[in-house]
Amino acid sequence: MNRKALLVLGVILLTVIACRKADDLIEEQLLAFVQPAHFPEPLYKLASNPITKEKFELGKKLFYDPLLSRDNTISCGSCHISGHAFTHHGHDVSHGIDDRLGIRNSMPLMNLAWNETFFWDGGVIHLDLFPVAPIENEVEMDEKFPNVLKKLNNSPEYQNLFQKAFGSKEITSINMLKAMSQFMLLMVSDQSKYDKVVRKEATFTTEEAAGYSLFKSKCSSCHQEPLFTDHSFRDNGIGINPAGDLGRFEISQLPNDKLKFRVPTLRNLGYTAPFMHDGRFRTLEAVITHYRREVQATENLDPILRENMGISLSDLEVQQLLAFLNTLNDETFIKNPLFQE
Amino acid sequence: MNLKHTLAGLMLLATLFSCSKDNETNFNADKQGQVKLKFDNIVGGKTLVLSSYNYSNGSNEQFNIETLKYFISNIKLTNTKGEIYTVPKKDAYFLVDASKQASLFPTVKVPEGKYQKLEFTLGLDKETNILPLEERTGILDISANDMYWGWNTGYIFFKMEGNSPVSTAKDKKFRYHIGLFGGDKTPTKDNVKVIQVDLTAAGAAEVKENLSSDIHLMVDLGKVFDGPNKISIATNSTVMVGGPNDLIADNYAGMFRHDHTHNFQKLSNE
Ligand code: HEC
Ligand code: HEC
Repeated sequence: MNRKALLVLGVILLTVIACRKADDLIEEQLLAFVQPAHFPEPLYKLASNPITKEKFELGKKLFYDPLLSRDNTISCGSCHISGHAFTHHGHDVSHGIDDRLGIRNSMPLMNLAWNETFFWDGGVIHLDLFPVAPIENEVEMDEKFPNVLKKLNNSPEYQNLFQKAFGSKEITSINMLKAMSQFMLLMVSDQSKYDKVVRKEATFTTEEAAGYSLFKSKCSSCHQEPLFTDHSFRDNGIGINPAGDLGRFEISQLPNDKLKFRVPTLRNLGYTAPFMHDGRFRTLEAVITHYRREVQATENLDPILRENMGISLSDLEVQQLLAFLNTLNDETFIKNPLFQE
Repeated sequence: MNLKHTLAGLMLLATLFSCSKDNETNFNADKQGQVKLKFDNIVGGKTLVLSSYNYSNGSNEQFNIETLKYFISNIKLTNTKGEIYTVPKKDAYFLVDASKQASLFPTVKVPEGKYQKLEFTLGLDKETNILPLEERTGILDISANDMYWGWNTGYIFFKMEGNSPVSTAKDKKFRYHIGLFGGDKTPTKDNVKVIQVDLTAAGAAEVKENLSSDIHLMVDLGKVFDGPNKISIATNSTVMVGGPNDLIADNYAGMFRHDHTHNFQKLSNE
């Protein structure tokens, strides 16, 4: 072998090694839970479920596996589509097994490590306990949780994956749910223009800045920054729907919870239409119109909205507000291949 | 027999009596014995036999019972000195399931002593309902026993199902699934019931090492319908998170009655 050839070989080898390193680095970076500096501490105790590549990948596989439904047709991913911030885009209420319709609008999945509760009514209190609910819901996956565990335990492929991830091929409620949490925990959305402005990496346009100050005076008492929710249950006066859904009351059975729903985040609204718990508003403009003119004096209407029976905004202010809301869309999150099937 | 003999005999008897009295209070609190709680499920005065016997309630409704399960937890015993012994929380979770004979006789370890009061929770308290997933093992495993609500986080405390011709359900069944622990960060209805049973009248529990004190409780499921509140199957065929679950819980809180205690039983004795 002559010197030239050796040199070429050396360069190739170096490049390969360098590439490897870079790949590994990217993988490691993506597979850690990175606390955004401008977010509060997450409520989820990450120390109780340390993220590993094997567990994350396993959780992802489970999320996209229709085996979790009664007739093996519906996966979590059927209703939670990554390109739409994990909502069931185009459906006001979600479509489940046998085309059965639910009564609620599928929720976006993001920043779940900070949730105090889950669902529009806060019925579930911890992410680790969450997947049992859609699995057993008869209009969603209509399967029995113990049966899902049985199906998984009968699969040599899953036994192998659990062995690799947890060091035991026995699939229990605990390791199965912990793996699913890992996939959902990493769905952190913190790369919107708003986030960049907060981090001083970008600046608002004049219109967006005007919208931001309107937002702070008219909306942020409920849609609190930086997660754009204060996690509370409130009645924003949209009134009861034909399904008679009473929201938080369905869980608590306390009369003063009637028609209260969890304040949703306003991140990624550009991808998650339609809006509200039953998807009754097809556009953001329609939502703003509600706050301006259509608030109903229901029994538990939030005092903030009762004061002026809504929120007064001029046409110009509406445009400014919409421009600001637009800065909450996070394209990096939506396009992240890490979450795609 | 002469007088002398009679006297001697009497004295001996007296000594024997006083001796046995002394022995009775000779407990060593450093040692532990067993307490067995015997849950004897009945309806009115009739034995519970699942999917078999026919029963009736005060609203003159006929029914049978196919499923009966309830959680017992947080067991405490008060001795004659007024000292309370709390069984370690983790050793005091039991699911009484009428279809599983062994589940009807939960046992716990208790320091030696004479106990006059029994206390337990019917259901599971808030602390248990909000346990992290990794601590939900054994009977608390959320995939076991069919006693957990996935969509409204919490265990079902009490489940009774059966058939009744007056049921308004399509399959003519009545289903009472009672839970709700008061909520985690935001409150909900609270149906956790603490049951106090006075053991003095029907026999205190005397606990000795290597022996079992068997506290026999009658559990009258008729009280579910006919307690402080009248519950009719025709009006309420299905009660779960919705419906008068609090009234049913108030009713079943009164279904336990202490019948008798068998003290100093051999440990193997069932
Ligand atoms: C048939 C459609 C459907 C399927 C299948 C489905 N979901 Fe959902 N998901 C919904 C709907 C609708 C909601 C909101 C329901 C409500 O609030 O009552 C929701 C809410 C959620 C939430 C709550 C988000 C929040 O912020 O509170 C999470 C987490 C979630 N789903 C995860 C999953 C997982 C994991 C699976 C699979 C095990 C799954 N979903 C399967 C429709 C679905
Ligand atoms: C009093 C508290 C409160 C105030 C003030 C408030 N909201 Fe809301 N908002 C809510 C609640 C509660 C919901 C969910 C209601 C439901 O689904 O029934 C909601 C839902 C929304 C949604 C739907 C989100 C989705 O994912 O479906 C949008 C958009 C929204 N609000 C925007 C705004 C804007 C913009 C303002 C200010 C002009 C505002 N809100 C002020 C409480 C409030």
